Amino acid sequence: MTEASDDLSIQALNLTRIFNGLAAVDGINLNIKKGELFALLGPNGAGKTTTINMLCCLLKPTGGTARIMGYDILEEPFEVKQVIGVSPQETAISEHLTPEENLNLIGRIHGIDARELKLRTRELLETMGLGERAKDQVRKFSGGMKRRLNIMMALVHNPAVLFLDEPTLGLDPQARRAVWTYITRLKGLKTILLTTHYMDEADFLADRVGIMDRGKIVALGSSRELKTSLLEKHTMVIYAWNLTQRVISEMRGRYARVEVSDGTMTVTDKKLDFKEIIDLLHASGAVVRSAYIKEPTLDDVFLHITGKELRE
Amino acid sequence: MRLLALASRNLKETYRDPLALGFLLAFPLLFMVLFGAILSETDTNYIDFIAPGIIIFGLLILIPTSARIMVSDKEKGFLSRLLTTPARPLDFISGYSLCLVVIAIAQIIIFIAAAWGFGMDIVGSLWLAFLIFLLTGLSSIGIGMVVASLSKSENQAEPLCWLFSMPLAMLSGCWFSVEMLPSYLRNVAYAFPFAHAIDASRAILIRGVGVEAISNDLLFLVGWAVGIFAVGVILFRRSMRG
Repeated sequence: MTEASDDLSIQALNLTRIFNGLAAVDGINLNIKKGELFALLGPNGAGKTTTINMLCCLLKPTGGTARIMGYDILEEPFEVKQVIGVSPQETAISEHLTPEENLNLIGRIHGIDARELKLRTRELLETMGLGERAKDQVRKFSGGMKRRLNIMMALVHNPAVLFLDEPTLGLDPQARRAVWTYITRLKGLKTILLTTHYMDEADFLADRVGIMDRGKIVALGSSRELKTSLLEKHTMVIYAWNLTQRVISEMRGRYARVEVSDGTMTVTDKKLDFKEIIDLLHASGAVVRSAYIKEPTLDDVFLHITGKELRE
Repeated sequence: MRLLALASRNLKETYRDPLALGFLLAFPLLFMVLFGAILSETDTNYIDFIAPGIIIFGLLILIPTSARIMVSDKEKGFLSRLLTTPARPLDFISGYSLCLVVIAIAQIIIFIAAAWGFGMDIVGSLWLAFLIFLLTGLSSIGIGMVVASLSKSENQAEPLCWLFSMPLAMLSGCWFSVEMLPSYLRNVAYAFPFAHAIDASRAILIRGVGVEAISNDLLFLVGWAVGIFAVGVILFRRSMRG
């Protein structure tokens, strides 16, 4: 085992992958602590899957290296593969096998004792809500059920580190929520590296988020940190009656940006005092029906850093 | 343990797929029934001549089957998933090969039984015929493995296999004698193992000849099976590395 910090499960050290002269992953450095759920967020083609593929020894880096639970991905791939579980972007399952048989296959490859494997399989199927369908062939399952099985297959050998590549890709909102629930149950028990291009997914699930664009990690921190530290402006949205031209002009004199459309006023500035704005409007005779400070999203953060939107 | 787990999974994926099973077993048997019915009025011994050819045709279908199983796993990401486990590339290749050899053995037994059921008069050594058929099956698996290595999707692999298998079945004499072919086509036919396998199996089953009489064909079959299998393993292993 190579030298590494005891607290870290995943360490990427100047990890680079070049395809045909273009850097798909461009020298990323990353430290993920044991038990942490870390999300790599970015648009399609940002380099998220290439990063995961290198970390789980599917793809050799062109430069740099990484350590998983202290094992070097270049020097000790066999050891790395023993401590990781991978749920790929595709639902990579055997369609003519039952969920039980799919789980048994992975367990047997990992050399798990038959009795223990039976217990783990049963427990996983029950926990993930597929207990009643354990003997049915997977090809009859819905997309959400297949996604859950995809994750279970990464868990059956009880790995220390779990890689989830776009775990809810193509699912309807209800099925996505169900998958989120199962992932939430694993928080703290495993180190999880999740890739997603859904900002709400990263926001909801992750302890920390790394925003990726063009092969680089362009921002790193907790969702709250990213949203508060990187955004210099705040936005307040007010629905009101009787907005006079006079008060609109006064507001425009005080704040950086004021837009009014169909009785909705949007005020944007570096600093906003909620009470002060409401009092000003009341004093002008406007009737405020509702008002709120618009929470910045990770999409706003992405827009702020890269100048483009994070497309979902 | 890994080898058995993988081979057993591959077998289940095949025998639980009605389409795959239909192609592997029902398709050649249908040919046997049709030829049997068509020729039953004209020549009572024709089943003796046609049965070995149709058995070889059944084994030729192992080419698209082998390619489909392997390419499908590549295309759907299942192979990539398995490559993130401690299993080694040779485990996967052995797992596919063992499964396909079991399928080939099952095909041989079923086709010989069917031919006998249709009235084939078997006079020679079944064991020797079985060896010829098994070597033919191994060649088909090897060719399938080469196609799987060169293809990225089932859509690429399947037409390529059929484009190769059907003309080869015709040229090799599955349905009529190779003697009917012009000499240049006969040379093409005998460059592949299937025409040799049909000649040898007909000689064994119908005329009852021993190993000495078919030694040239046997050596050619062994060479082809070992050679193409080795090439298939090397190429497929390389294709797994991406």
